Amino acid sequence: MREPASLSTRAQLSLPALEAALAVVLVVAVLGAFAFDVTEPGTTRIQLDVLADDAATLLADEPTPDGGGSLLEVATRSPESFERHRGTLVNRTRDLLPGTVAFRVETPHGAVGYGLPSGVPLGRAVGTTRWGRVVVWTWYA
Amino acid sequence: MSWRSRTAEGLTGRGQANLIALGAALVVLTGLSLLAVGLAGDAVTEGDRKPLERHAAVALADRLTDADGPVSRRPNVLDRDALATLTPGDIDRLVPSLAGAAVDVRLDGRPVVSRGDPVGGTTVVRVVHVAVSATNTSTAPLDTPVALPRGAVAVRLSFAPTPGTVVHTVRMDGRVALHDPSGLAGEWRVPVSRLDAVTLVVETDGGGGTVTVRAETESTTAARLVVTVDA
Repeated sequence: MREPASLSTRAQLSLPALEAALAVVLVVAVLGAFAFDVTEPGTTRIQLDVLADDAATLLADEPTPDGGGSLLEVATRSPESFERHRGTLVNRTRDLLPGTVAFRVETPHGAVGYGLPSGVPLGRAVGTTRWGRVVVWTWYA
Repeated sequence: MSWRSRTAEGLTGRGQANLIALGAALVVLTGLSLLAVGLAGDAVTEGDRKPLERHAAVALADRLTDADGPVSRRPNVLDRDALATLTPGDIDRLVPSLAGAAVDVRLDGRPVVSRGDPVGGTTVVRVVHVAVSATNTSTAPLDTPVALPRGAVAVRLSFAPTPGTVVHTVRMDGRVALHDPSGLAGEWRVPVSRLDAVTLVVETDGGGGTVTVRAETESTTAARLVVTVDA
């Protein structure tokens, strides 16, 4: 059976300590909200969008081995043309983007690259040829 | 006199302990508040400064890779020789808000132009093609088709037909590029698509001779343009 004295001693000590701890947590939370939320609103997104845009622009400027227009054009021209140039499309896009950036290139006839992840910032750009739209996605792997 | 009895009771134990705890809590809270306000103030100042710096970095990278940029041939295609001539003054002209700021522009790690030491600045990475021009000269008989070298952006043609032979038409992939029924003399420059494989056919009234094809070719390599700004 508990002694009344020990019960009262414990209550006396813990309450102010608890209050102080809660106050510290509260103040640190407010501080954290200011310190970490304000500075970084989407630098990553801007950079990824820019890289996707660059990749789309340069794929439209990239010659193909058989010389039938730009890589972006031959990838959108027909399903057969897309299949034939699929390897070149992946390799050229990989050469263009930095090693830390993963990508996906979607054409009307199929997509190359990796599957789109969820829950990470994505960059996106659209390139247009006379046969259709090409969407380039980028994200940090 | 309830307050007196309470005070008397408090003096004996509980009141004292709570007072000390209250005092300690106030000291801790005041200290933390000061620290929080100080850090938040720093964060807000930084938050005000960073977007401007980032905007300047993005703008500089944009203007360097723009089709109308001082060193670019087409969007995202930079001229290697022009890159070597870039100066900090050009940077200030492109983005006036960067006047006097620490700037560093690198192409695949090699410095292109820099001023000051932008440590802790904002970095923007762009992907570009670096273009190098070359001239490729070849001579061929007039009656054989000529396949132009890959990456040709223009060709200069000069004809040396045998006396009495009239060179009247030049076709590129079947399309008429040059035509003069009375004869093409001198040097002609014809722009061609860099992305297509083009075959050139010279049509004459039957005689022999040669054509000199000087092809202006452009080769490109992928590179990363890294712009760091500490404004």
